[in-house]
Amino acid sequence: MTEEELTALAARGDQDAFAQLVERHQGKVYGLTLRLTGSPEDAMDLTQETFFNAWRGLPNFHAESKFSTWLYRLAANAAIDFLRRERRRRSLLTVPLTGEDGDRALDIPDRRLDPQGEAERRELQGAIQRGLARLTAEHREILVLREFTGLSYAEIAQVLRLEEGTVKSRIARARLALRRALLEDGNFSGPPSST
Amino acid sequence: MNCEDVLELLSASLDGELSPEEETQLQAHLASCPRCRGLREQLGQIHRACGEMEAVPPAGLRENILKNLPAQRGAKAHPWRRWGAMAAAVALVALAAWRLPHTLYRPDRSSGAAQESAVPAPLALGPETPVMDRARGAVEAAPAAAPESDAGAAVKENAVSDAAKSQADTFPAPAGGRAPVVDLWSLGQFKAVVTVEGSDRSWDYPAQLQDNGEMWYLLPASALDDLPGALGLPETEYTLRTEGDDLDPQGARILLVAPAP
Repeated sequence: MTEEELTALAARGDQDAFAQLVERHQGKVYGLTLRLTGSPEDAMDLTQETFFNAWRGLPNFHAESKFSTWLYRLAANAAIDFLRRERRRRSLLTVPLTGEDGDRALDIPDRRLDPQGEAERRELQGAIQRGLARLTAEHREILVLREFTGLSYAEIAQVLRLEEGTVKSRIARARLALRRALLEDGNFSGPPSST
Repeated sequence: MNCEDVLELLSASLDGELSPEEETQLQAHLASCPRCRGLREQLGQIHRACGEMEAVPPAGLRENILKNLPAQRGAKAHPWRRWGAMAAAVALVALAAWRLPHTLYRPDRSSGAAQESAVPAPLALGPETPVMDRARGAVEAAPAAAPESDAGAAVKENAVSDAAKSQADTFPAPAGGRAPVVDLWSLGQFKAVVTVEGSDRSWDYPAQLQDNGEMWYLLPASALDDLPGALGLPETEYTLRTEGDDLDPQGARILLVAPAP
């Protein structure tokens, strides 16, 4: 069944159709909210809230955009609102990598290993999650949308209600900021660069 | 083209968002700039690592999502009425302007002293949120008024602040009949905020504030019980979400935000 058919059915109250939409999109919504908040518990809550809002709002969704774009806007707004309400800085060090909990024994990568080796990859992923925490909210939002939901610049512009040119330049700035955070973190060697 | 300009091209090329002309420009610069080549390597490495960080949702997430939906768009749950989204059929109907009878908004308690106690003094607002700031603005903007005496739209002394006792205006229905969505969430002192989107209702209830295309009204929470009936829609439901279970349906007051006419 096409997404248009599913959304039309779900808008009329068909929970089975909605369940299929959940199945298709929960991973991305979860990933998006996880990378934005750094907390699996909050990501679960925000994912539920997003789909709750989607269920309620579907009668008003008239395919002005793709369903996923609309859904990610709900998710991004929910996460952004949540983060603004949260007063305390949350530790973003608790996010398990690639679904494997607790296996963070490798603190110092052995640089004799193949750079493409598993240890270095996981170290980099951990550093990226830590680095995301150090970005400004603006940079984090836009970079997470780009890297973890696969939205195009045009779609991100729709989700965040920005000009596409702004999206392009802001993503570039966010990448630069993340790179700087990684270099300061000390676990990112990468190829030599003059800065 | 200098390195500063190239940064955006570098980034966009990772995302496949470059035009052929831009790609050519980029390659031309990279051919002669080792610094930018190094930068592209680093950004590319980060980008690829992000692509491998697939977050796996915990098992049972989907079930949790689905079981929390209203069973049908007509179901109601205890203790708060769970009002599901308005049926699509209703949304298509052009809804006539209506007037909420003032009698809906009498508090459940007996008149007199109870009403006094229900009236908040200076509204000490709870934890800061963006909505709280607006609520504070609403409170500060609302002038204290003498009890109104307009019999036709009489809003008697009730659990609403003094400002609400100013003359009861009726507001013409806003255009456009989008289905209302009713949200209820905690707002510190107010206990709840109700937002009705897309309503083409008129409110027989004085507004506290008009701001940004919205009208703000203070209502006793008990008014919500009658809202569906007052809206005159048979199988209507609204989704009523609450933050926390400590909202007292009888004693709480609600800030109702509706689109301005």
